[in-house]
Amino acid sequence: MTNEQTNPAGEPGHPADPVYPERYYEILARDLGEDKARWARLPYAERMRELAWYHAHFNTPDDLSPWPAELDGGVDRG
Amino acid sequence: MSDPIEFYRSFQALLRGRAITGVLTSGMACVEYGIQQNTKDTDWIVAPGDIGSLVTLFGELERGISGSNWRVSYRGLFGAPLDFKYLDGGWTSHLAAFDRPESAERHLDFFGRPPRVGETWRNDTNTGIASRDIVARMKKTDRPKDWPLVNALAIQAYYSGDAAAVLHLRDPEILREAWRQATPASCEAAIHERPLLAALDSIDNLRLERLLLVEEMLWQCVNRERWLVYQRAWKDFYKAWQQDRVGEWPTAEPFLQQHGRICDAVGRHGLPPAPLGTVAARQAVFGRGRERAATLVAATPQELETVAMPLGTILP
Repeated sequence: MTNEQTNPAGEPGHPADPVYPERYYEILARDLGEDKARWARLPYAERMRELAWYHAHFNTPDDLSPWPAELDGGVDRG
Repeated sequence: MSDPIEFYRSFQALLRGRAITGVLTSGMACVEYGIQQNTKDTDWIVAPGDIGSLVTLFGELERGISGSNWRVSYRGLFGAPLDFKYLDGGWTSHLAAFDRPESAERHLDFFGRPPRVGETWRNDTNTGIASRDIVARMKKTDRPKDWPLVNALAIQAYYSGDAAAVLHLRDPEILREAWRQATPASCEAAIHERPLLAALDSIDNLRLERLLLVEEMLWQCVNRERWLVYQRAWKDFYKAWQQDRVGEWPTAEPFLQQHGRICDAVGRHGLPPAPLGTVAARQAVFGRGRERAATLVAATPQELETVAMPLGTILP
């Protein structure tokens, strides 16, 4: 059952940076959207760098709300 | 704006420094697992026995004893005080914090006995992050948007060789594949927890999708009924509390004063520490949820019987 591979580029404290089979990312794209699937494909350190950049430049909303309007989301920010 | 991920890591270090047993869970754990991007809140499971140390920690952080001065406050939504008997009784506590004068408002939510989770979260205290199994259980809420996350966590668990994946998988093909690979020893326990698995070999994919829908609806409806019990108890308490005090909650007082105030109030106005502390209360919630699920998706008694999980799984 172990199709998981390990990417050695994980940050210290986060050694397991698995790469999953393609169908996992296809299901993410179907259920959560293409952008989340793209982000999920990145190595752990790059994923976190990307989020840090968003948090530094945008007032992203809490919890599971969509991204704010300037990031093509924000429909429920009212 | 500073980084919520940086904040959760520094708070995790503070918990470790005080030997407070706890793990990160929910949305921020999903960020760590690479399936959710946009959360700022941090949710924590903390051993109810360590709640007193957590209160002390917040008091010290506010007084600047351990470094920079924090501002800590209860939040204005329904939730119990950070108190052993309330968190042990299934309540959550909701706090807001500013860890620096210019920082964004941080939201911290604390569980002692998280819904749908037993004691197995304690196995994850070495990593400091709740396992995919634990997060998937917590994500089986009444919010439909949480369910794709349950499936994503389960697929990750499957490809990581975690036998618990079969308890949460929602994708019919991967569920069948994982079930074929399950060891005979694990099958019995898995069927006990997720009865739908017993039907897997005898139904086609369309029928399986139908049963997955009924199963999801049952989880959602029972969770809704569970949540309503806590909400009703809080509303009754809050109404009584408001009759004998002036002003709004939360107050602008330092955290330890706020904490003393709400601990006193819940005692005086009878907020029940464990609204679902009896088997009879949990059975009643399950019964109402089952009835609602049956109505919403027109489930037959046989379908409900096929998917209905034991009380100890859905309302432990």
